Amino acid sequence: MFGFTDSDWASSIDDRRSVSANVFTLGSGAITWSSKKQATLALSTSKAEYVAATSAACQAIWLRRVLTDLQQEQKVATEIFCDNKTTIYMTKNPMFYSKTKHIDIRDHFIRDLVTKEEISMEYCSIQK
Amino acid sequence: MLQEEVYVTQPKGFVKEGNETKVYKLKKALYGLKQAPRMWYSKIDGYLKKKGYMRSENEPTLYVKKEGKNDFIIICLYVDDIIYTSSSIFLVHEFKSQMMNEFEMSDMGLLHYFLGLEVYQIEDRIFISQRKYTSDLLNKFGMSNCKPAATPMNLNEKLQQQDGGEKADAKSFRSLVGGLIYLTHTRPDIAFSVGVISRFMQQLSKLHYGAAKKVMRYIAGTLEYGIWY
Repeated sequence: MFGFTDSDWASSIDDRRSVSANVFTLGSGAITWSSKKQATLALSTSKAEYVAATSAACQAIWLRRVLTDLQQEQKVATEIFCDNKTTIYMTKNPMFYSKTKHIDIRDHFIRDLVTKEEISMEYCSIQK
Repeated sequence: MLQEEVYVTQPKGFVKEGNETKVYKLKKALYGLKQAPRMWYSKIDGYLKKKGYMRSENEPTLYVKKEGKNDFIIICLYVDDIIYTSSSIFLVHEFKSQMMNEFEMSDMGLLHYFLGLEVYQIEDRIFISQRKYTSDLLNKFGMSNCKPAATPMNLNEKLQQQDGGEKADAKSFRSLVGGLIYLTHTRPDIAFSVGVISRFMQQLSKLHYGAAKKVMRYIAGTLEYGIWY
């Protein structure tokens, strides 16, 4: 199972919020997908991607559990592909920076999952 | 069994002569009763659990039963629609006969239609689509003969709440958006555009309606789209 995440920064011109999107594929086909305007205002593209990656991670956790119920336990971390290197770095390094200190706790949920090796964030350039 | 006290007037054909002024007290749920769906669910849920099918904690519509080392059967329950699959033909037959003995159910054979989703199963592949649903939706809005569009949305189109455009029919717009949201169950390609148009339920203008029509013209040209597994 693989996941893909992306975001569209500040696309809503009424409130400048971004859109999160993700798709999960299992075997050959797409099994779940979502496109949803974010509930918080992202100050940068990295933050928008970070919020999108967190919601993708939540979906990954649920999918892993359902697959376990269906006798298809995922033994390795679920890879989620993202086209923003800063975001990936932010999920892997649980440090406290002045530029990320405003990010809400709920959006840092993804760090916990990466540390526990339930998911792993990978880079995927837009050319591929 | 009903928990509450419920009385009904004597229905046609069940009128007791000499007692026409009296009412019936219900022992069991009747079709259309407020409690009926709940009663049905507790009945089928209790029955499946009794037979060893475990309900998934992560997805309440799923029931799984393991048999031996490797075999299992998966059941998906939607009110009184049931779909099931298994690693063993024996478990399939067992489940089918159990259900047909306990409830008045009919076997519809191989799955080809579920909640408006069309399913085609050939050899080792499965295709799901909403072709019929899409053409019904286009008919409902009088767009079955419209000119198909190549994309669901214009590039870099920026819609906003107050665009000064003329007011449009909000009721039919809401119905249209609702119809399109249901279509995203098999169409990830329109998920973004549907998300965008669904932001303008209030403050609707002709421009928003135009964007929704564009999505409709796109799906008119891509009726056959679905997903292969």
